[in-house]
Amino acid sequence: MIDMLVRARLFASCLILLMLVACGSPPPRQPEALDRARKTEQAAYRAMREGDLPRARELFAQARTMQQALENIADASLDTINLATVLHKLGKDADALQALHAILTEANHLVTEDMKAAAAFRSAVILLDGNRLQEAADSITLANRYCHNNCVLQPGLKNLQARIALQQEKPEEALALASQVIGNGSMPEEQANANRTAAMAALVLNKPALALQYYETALQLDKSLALSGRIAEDLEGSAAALQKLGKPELAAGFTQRAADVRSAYKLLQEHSTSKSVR
Amino acid sequence: MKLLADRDERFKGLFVKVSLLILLAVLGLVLNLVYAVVKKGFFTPKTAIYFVADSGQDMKVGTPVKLSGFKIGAISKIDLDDQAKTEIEVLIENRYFPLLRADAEVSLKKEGVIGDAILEARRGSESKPKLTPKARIAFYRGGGLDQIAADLREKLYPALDEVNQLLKNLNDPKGDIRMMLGNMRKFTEDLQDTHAHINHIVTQLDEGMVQDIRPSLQSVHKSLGNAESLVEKMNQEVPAMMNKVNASLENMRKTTETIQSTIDHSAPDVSGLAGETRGLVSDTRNLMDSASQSWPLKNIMQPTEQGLVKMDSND
Repeated sequence: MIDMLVRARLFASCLILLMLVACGSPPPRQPEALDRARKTEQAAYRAMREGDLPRARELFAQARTMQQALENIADASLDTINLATVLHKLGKDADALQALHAILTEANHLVTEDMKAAAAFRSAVILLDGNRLQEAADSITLANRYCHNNCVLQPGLKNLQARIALQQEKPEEALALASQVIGNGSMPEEQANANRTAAMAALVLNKPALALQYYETALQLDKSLALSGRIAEDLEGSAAALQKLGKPELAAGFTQRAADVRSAYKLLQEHSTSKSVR
Repeated sequence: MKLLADRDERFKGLFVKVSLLILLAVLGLVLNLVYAVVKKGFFTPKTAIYFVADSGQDMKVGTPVKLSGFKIGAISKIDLDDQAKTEIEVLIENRYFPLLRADAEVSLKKEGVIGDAILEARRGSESKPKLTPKARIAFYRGGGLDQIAADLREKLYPALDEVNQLLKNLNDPKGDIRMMLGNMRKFTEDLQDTHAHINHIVTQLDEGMVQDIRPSLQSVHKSLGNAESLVEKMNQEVPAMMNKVNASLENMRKTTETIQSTIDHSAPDVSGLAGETRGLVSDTRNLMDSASQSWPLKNIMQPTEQGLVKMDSND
């Protein structure tokens, strides 16, 4: 009886030891070139997180070249879209659009529809920033097609449509589109954008009280996301709404807050630029 | 008579065959040796030139001499001359020798910042005649971290001496700066006397005359009043300022001492430190890579980032 117990314990100990060894052994190393490409990508994400955009651009370009050389089409596409995003943040919109165009015209089946939808969405954002409304609208249509009108990009696409409607002086349409996004449980960034666009549309429609309400929600969301530039926009919008509501003292307070946030934002940007240069 | 009859056909002419094989093998070995010797440049005609260096550090027989990145020769002999300086003989391949001019020079460099030492040759000016065999050429050191540290030390020392000199001048009671401050104080005291004197004159003046010159005197009076208040202020602030200057000087003196001591102690270690650090960083990176992918660390480590960089509709 005792022997059986000792044997059972020994067996259990061996089993546990085997399991520990199995867990503890490192996974097989990837081929060196692939490993290097992955490390370059990680360095690029890190540079991006630290706000070092020039370095992020350089690293994403390197990673893309490595993945292309390894014929790793899916990862090369991912790096290309990331590179385009960095280029846009650096103000090099023409280069960014060119990179995204390469993804949209790629015939290889390894470039998935999700990837093409992301490329089309980002193209639309860049085109709209450049005030190229018709081309932006075409990109949105393309993104919707790749998305099959049902993907995570949908709220963002709706917001883009709302912004286009606002720029085309169709505030009712803009408000309706933005309202579809508000409260639909999408990403907080898109919720804040929808609220801001709705507020702008409400201001154009001469509904300052409604605009103020939207701006307050947008401000709360943007504060939680710590997006300085957008917080300043919300404050300025609130000031405009308060001015229309006949509360100039309150409006002046909001304008001052917006100016303070902008100054701080500028300082932050200068700090980040000097860091990048270093 | 043979004890055993050699009946097997294959053993016929065995001695000749084995001899031929051994001969071929020896021939092969000799050819290989000759090829290696030729390749090493033993038969390449060379011309000797010389230079003198303060120290033979980092130089040894065989250290290559390069011109525009090509090996054109090597150090063949290192010796001490009667002044305890290092005399170095360099053999330059004859085909490259005409490229060198009379003012050619060599410098000791490292391949990369911390690589092996090489002698880098410079041709010299086109206008100069060609270098003659057994000529002496100029030599200087350059390149590696040791040299950078030594250069830095040479450049920093005079600068630190100047800072020290400046500090001495500032501290000297008869120095320019202290004298200037003292003179300013005396000048302000004189101003106070002048002010009192003018006050006295104004009270003694004839009324008619006063009418004419009163505006001018009042102006002077006002200026002196201002000067007096300035003097008051200076009397209060100058001692505090001097205390601050003294404190700053002491700090500067300590800082220069620290810099000097750091330069003295760290310069010889820089090169070794750089080499060791490079190895250490590489080892640590490998270790961390492996460790981060193993249990239990891989559960603790932050997951690697992947996917698309965030971008929303308002970016």
